[in-house]
Amino acid sequence: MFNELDPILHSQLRLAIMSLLISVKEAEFTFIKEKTGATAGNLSVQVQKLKEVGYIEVSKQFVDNYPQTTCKVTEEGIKAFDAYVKALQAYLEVGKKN
Amino acid sequence: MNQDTSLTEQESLSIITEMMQKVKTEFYESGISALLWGVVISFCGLFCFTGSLLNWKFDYYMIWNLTFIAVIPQIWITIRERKKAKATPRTDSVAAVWMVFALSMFGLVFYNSSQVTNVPSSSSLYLLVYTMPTLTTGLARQFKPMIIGAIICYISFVISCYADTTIDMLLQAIAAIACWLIPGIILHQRYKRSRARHV
Repeated sequence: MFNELDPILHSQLRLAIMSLLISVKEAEFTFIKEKTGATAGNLSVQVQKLKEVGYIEVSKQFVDNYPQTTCKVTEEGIKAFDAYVKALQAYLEVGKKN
Repeated sequence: MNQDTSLTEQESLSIITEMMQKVKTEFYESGISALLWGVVISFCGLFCFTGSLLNWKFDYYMIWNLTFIAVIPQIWITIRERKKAKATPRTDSVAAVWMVFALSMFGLVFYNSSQVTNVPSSSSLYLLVYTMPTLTTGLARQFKPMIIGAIICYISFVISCYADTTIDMLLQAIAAIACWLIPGIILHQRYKRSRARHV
């Protein structure tokens, strides 16, 4: 039933990351980690996957001598998330009718 | 959160809703800064208003030195807030800053023009300064109580341009209550509620 849903987004942690990023302009890695409750290692892997498909941009800089990683959703990411939500709504509508 | 768990449509929906709600509550500030300045400025204003009304013999304007003391906890609050992991809201705060700047310039022109018929005290200018952080925060965070507070403060500024110093002190207290104390209480209650939900 969910075959047509974007497999990149149809994952618990990646969907959580995208849902967070879609609501903000940008977010620090530590912020995403805190809100999703994921481990740093797992989060890094999923962030990398989202970056590889072009859904998010990741920038690294030093702030007060500490490394800071910031994530930002791209236009492509917004489109993909929008399509995912629309598909999800369609499935929910079908579910209601049945 | 495990990424490989198979998701149903309801679970997907609940993840999206939960995450968006978490971001929303994140932007509920603790309101401590607003409460701090709301209490200090309204107390100083009411103290001076009472002193002026009752003709107290001592220099009751010295009470405004409390604002210097209030800077110390404000620095501590600012440092603590800076240490928190952050996300940047989508709202355009730069547009809010320029809008506040335009209103402040208009206010300054109004202040100067009111000098033709009257000599307004410098406390009128303080009221204009109070509107700046309040309106900027209100517009950037789309927080209505602060927008309303800033409008009340702006009206207080206009009145104070034609009022004597005693009334100015009362207006300072009213402005502080409208700009910071009431919004601060609302923010703090929301903040406590959002924290309680995440425990």
